[in-house]
Amino acid sequence: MTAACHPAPSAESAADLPVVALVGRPNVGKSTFLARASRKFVETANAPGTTVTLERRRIHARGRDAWLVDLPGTRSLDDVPAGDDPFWHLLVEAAPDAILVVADAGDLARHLPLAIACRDLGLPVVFAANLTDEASKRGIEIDAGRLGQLLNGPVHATCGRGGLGVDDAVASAVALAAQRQAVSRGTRSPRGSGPASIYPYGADLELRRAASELTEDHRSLGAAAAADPLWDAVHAGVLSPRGAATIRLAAVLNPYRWSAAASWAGQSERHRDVPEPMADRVARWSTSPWPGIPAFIAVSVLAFLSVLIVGGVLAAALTSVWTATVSPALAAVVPAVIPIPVIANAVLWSLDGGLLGMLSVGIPYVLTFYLLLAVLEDSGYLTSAAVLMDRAFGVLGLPGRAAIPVLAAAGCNVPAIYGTRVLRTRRERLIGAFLVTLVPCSARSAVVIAAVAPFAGPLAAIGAFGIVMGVTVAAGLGANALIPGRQPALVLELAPLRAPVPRHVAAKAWWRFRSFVVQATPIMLAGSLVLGLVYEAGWWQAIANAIGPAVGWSLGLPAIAGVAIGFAFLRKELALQLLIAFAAIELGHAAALGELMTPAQLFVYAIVTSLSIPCIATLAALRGELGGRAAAGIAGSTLALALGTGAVLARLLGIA
Amino acid sequence: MSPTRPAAPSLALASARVGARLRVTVVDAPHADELAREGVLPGAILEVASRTPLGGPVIVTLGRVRLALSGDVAAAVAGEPIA
Repeated sequence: MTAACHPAPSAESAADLPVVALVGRPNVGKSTFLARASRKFVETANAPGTTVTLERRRIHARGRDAWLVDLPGTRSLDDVPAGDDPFWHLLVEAAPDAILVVADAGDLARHLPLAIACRDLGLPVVFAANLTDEASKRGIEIDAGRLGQLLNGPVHATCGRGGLGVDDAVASAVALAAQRQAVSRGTRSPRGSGPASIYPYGADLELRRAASELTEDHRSLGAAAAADPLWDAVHAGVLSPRGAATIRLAAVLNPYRWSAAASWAGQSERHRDVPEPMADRVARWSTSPWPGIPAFIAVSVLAFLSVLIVGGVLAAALTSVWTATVSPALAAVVPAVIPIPVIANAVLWSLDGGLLGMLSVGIPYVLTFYLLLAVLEDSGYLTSAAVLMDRAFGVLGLPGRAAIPVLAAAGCNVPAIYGTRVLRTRRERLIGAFLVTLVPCSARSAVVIAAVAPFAGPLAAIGAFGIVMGVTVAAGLGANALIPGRQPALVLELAPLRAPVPRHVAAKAWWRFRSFVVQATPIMLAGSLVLGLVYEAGWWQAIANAIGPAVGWSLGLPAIAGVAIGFAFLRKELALQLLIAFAAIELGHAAALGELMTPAQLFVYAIVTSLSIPCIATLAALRGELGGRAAAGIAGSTLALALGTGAVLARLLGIA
Repeated sequence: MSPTRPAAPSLALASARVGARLRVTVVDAPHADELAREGVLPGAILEVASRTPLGGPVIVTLGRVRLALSGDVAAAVAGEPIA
C-alpha cells in the first residue's frame, strides 16, 4: 500500500473512488491506521467550538485506489465527539461505501456495540481487533474466525503500532467498498441484504415502521421532514431506509447491542492467567491519592521547569544569534531601501523586533511545551491528571484536564492557549483561556520581580504574585458564574498508560507549532509596525499627554507608565525597558526606575502590567483558537481587572 | 396478601466503599445516555477501585477498563452488592 505518491488523478476519477470510513472509540489507534495506510502521520484539528475536519487520504491497497476517511473517535453513532454535530452526521458527510471499525481486542464487550450499530447501517463492515499486543499482555487472545461468524463480516487481528494486519484489514475494506460501489452505482437507495437481526420482534417492527417513514415522499410529510438529514441521507443513496431507521431508534436498540456484544465477546475471547502488566499498575497508582498526587505535582513542576528552563536557554541562544547576525543586516538594508527614516525605523521594529519576538517565543517556549503536551497525551497520563485535579478545578468551572495548560501558562501563555484544546466544550475553553492569560508568564514574572524586589523588597514581590494569583482565582470564580452553561458531568474512560511513540509526538507537536506560526506571525509583524510608528513618529508623547490625567487619577502613576503598559502589549519584557527609554527622553538623561517612581508606584505598575491585556502573541493565539470576539472579550476583561485592581491598590497605598 | 421475597438491598455507587462490587440495577436520568455509551447499563458489574481527594471523581472498574465518574454521575447509579 502506498500513499498519494501516485500520479495526480483527474478530478472525475478521484471522485469515483470507493470511500472507506475509519470508525472506532477514542484512543483505539484509528489515526495509526490512517498513518500506516497512507504512510503519513496525521494530526487533526478537531477541538470543541471548531468545525470538525474530516481527514481524507487517497490510498492504494492491493491494486485498488480508494479514499480512507478518518472520523473522530466516538462511543456511539449518536455521540457528539467533537464540534457540535452527532457523529452520524459526519459519517453521512463522508458517504462511505464501507466501514472499517477499529476496536480494542482486549475490551471487545465495550467496542462491539459500535460495530453492531455500523453493521446495522447496511454498509459492508470490516472489523479490526486492534491493540492485540496489549490484549496479549493481559492474557486475552481473539478467535477471529468465531467473531467473524457472529458479526457476519471479515475480522482482522491487528496491531497498529507494529503494523501487524493493518494492510490486510484496509485492503479487505477497500475490496468490499469497491464491490458495493459497483453494485449500487446508478441505484437511488442501496439496500444491502445484511446480516440477521439481533433485535426482538417488537423492536424490529418499530424499525420497519421508521424505515417506511424514511422512504415516503417529502410532500406527504410536511415541513418538519423537509429538514431531516436522515431522510436526505436515504434519498441521496448514502444510507438504506432501514440503516437510517437504526440511527433514529438508537435508544431502543442500544440495550440489545450491548447484550449481544457481551455474549459475542464471551464467545470469541480466550483467556489465560497472566500477572497484571506494569503499565496497568502504574495507571492505577497515577489516579490514587498516593502516589498519584505527588506524581502529579512532580509532572507539573517538570512541565513548568522544562518550558521555563529549556525555553529560556533556547530563547537566549536564538536571540544572541539573531542580534549578532540578522539585526545588523536588517539595520543596514532597511534604511537603504526605505529612505524615510521614520518609516524605515518602524519597519525595523516590525522585521527585527516582530520576527525576533516570534523566534524567541515561538521556537523555544511554544515548541518545547507542545512536545511535552504531546508526550503527556500520547502516554495517556493526561487523563489521570484530569481525574486527580477534577474537584479542585471544578470550582472554577473547569475539568481537571485544565491543570496542565493553566500551570504551563506560568512558562508562556501562548502554547498554553493552544493547550486548552484538551478541554471539551467551548465554555471550558473560554474560561481556561481567560485564566491562562491572567497567569503571569515568565516575562511578566520577570517584570514583577525586577520592578518590585529591588525597590520594595522580596516580600513585596511575593505579595505582588499573591495578589495576581488571588485576582486570577477570583476571575475564574466570576467567569464560572457569569458565562452561561455549566460544567458537564465527568464520565471518563481512563486510558491505559503507554510508551509514547516518538514519531507521533513529533508530528503532533510540529503540526500544532506550524498552526501557531501561521496564525501569530502576521499579527506580530503588523502589531510591531504600528507600535514602531507610534514610537518613531513621537506620537507616544501626545498619547502620554492625553492619558496622563487618567493614569494619574486612577492608578497614581506617571503618564509615561501608562504608555509603557500599552507598549508592553508587543512583548511584556518591554514594560521595563520602554519605561526607562521613555524616561530618558522625557527627563533628558538616563534614569533608574527608582528615580521615576516610588516603591508603591512600582508595586502597582508591576501588578497592572502583569494583569493587563495579554501580549500580542497571546492575543493572536486567542483569536486563532476562539475567534476575534472572544479574544477581544478576554483582552477587555483582563484590562478591566488590571485597572480595577490597580485603582484599589493605589488607594490602599495612598498614591491616588 | 401473598408472601413476597424481600427485595435485594440496593447500594448507591456514590456511597459504596473502595473494593465494593455491585450489579447495576438503576441508572437515573440525566446521565443514563452518557453512562450507557461507556457500558454502565443495568446488569453491568462495577467495582469501586478508588476515590480521589476532596470528594473528586470515584474510579470504578468495568470489565477491563477504569472509568472516572464525578459525584453527581455516581449518585445516579445504584445496584445490588455482590460478595
